Amino acid sequence: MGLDAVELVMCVEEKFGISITDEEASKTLTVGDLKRLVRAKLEVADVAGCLTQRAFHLIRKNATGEFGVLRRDLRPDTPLETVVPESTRRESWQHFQVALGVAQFPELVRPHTVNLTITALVLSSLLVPVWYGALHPVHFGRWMLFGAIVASAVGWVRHG
Amino acid sequence: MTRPMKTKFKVGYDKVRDLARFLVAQYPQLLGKPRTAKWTEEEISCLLREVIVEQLAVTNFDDSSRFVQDLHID
Repeated sequence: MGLDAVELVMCVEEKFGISITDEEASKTLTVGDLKRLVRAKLEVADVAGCLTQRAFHLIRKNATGEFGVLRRDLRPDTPLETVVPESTRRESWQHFQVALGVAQFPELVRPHTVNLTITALVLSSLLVPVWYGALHPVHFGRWMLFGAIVASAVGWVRHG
Repeated sequence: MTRPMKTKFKVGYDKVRDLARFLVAQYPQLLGKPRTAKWTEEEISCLLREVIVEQLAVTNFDDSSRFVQDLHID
């Protein structure tokens, strides 16, 4: 069993509060196998009605009021980007979370281009001082320190 | 400082369907599920899907997907 598999099994054990043996894990070849294995280890309730459907109706009811989208335009495959306006997305997303009565929604992330730019800045703030310090060996340590400080600052900005 | 730039939906949570599954996995009581220690089939499916999306960074899979061949798990 590789590292990916070990991490997946550990995460499943943690989320469902169950224990999966190595032998059971090695026999789990498909997603369906894993689902059956988890199900066999849990007490399953027979609840009438479809929870996913209820969740969809709850989202639709609140989204039509919150974002002004038409009821017929909101389908399971509708991208959330077309529902939540980009100009006020962070605030709207938080407001929608409160309206649904949910403590924590899936987090919004930075666009891929912003992440790439920040990574390039961190790398260049490390490499440029090394290159410049190599050209001026007398001040090499000073340039390295400068690079480390700038890279840490940019990294901190990204983290925040 | 770059927090205001966080305006994109995470992959795997970018459709209304994904948000519905998230609610089932994380907040089943909100949807009228009785407060019981027992799990429902849907809760298991949704939470398992969430775990696989998070751990393997894949979104396009179903029950017949094989971990090694289709999801490229090592």
